[in-house]
Amino acid sequence: MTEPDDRELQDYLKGDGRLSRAYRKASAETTPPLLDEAILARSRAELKRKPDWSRALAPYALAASLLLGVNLAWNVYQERPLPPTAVMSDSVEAGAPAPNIGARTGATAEARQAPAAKKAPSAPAPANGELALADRAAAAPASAPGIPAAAKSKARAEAEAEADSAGGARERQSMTAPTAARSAATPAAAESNIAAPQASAGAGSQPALTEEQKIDRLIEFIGALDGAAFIRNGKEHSPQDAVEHLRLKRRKAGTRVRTAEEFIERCATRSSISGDDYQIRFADGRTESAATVLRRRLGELEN
Amino acid sequence: MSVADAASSGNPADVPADAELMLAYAGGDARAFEVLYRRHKDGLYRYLLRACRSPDTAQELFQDVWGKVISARQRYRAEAPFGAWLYKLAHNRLVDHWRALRPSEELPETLVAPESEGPEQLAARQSQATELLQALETLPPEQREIIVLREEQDLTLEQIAEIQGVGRETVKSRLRYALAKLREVVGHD
Repeated sequence: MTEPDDRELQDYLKGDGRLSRAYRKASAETTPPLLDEAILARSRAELKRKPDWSRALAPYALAASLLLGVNLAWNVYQERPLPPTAVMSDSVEAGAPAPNIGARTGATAEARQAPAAKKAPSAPAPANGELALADRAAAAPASAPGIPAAAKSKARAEAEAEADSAGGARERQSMTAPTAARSAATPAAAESNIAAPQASAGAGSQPALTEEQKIDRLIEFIGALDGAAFIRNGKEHSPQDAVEHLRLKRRKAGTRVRTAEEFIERCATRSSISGDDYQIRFADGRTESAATVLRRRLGELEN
Repeated sequence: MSVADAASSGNPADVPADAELMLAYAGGDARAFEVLYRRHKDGLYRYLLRACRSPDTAQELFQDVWGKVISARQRYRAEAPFGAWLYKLAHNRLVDHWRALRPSEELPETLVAPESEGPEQLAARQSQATELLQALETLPPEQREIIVLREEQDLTLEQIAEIQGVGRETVKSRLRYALAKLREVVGHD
């Protein structure tokens, strides 16, 4: 859709055009008298209320509580018992599955994952048909049952960063080309290919994803749609451009986006300028609305 | 002469600005609030009504917004235009409302009818009202909001951008698209 004449915009902004006159004619709704009286009564009553000192001091009380809570949490964290880590790290690096320990601290899990993740990029360069670097890094932690999903995605992100810093962005695309042929058959196949590392972790072994993690996964999912085009206001964009655009919209949305569903509705469904729905055209030529594709993916993440 | 008296003096030169009235209310003048309230109530009500389409919901949100104005009176600063501040409160209240809304909420079938009109005038007005207001309802929420803020409060593009949390150019683009769609209903100037 081409943008209307700028002169029409300027005429409208003058305020006495046909549209404004029509709006004024059409707009005669008014508030019920009882509603007016209730609000005015409240405004008068508010002036008679004595200042509430407990309300005035509430921010200070909150600050004191937060300070106490942080101090307490820090002390508990400092006092936590640390399991022996040397033997555990060697086991993971050797590729053996880590034993399933019940209570494990986040710091310990991350320390074990960091060596595994750093090792992944130095492995021999993949030949045709091998998984992408990011997928291999994700598969390594997946072989160890009970590893938190957050540690896995962190390992994958670290592996990607390593690959990118070595000019690996192009390398990753060429490495994923063989997988595109496999995954281009149907969008569902493309989606399940990306879902493979998750599935190999073993059903029921991962804690539930937080809303932030779901949103991250949805954005990563878009970026990994090889051969797809993201159609916005009549123009096509690569998956990588779409990822940047969605991340920008998410940042701008701020606290208005707190769940994955809100992210889809507010950031990934339609253009906030034209109101036109975003579309995704997959490598096989099929086109679907971005909202439909992402809601399907969200359903997979949550099941 | 108090600001409330000045407002009712009939002399245009004496009409106090919104900021003066709000500051007077913060200082304890209840009548100043009444003047301010009556000046803005219908525009704000229609803004909420256009957004949520249900008179009951609009009235509920309307009460919440004015409640915030009342409780925040000591924090109001005259540097901020009262109208822009009021509609920012209303916009934020709407956002909270949409966040909590169930997707299955049905749109109302009828518009709010104005009071004290004969049946013929009412029918003619509703026909015209129906066309334009129905066209407004088909706009994306962000575009509809811009039209209503312009028409009800005459806010500038910069003030609207501040309320919507976007840049001025984004507001301009949204407005262009909105005008193009509405002109199909009301025609060009």
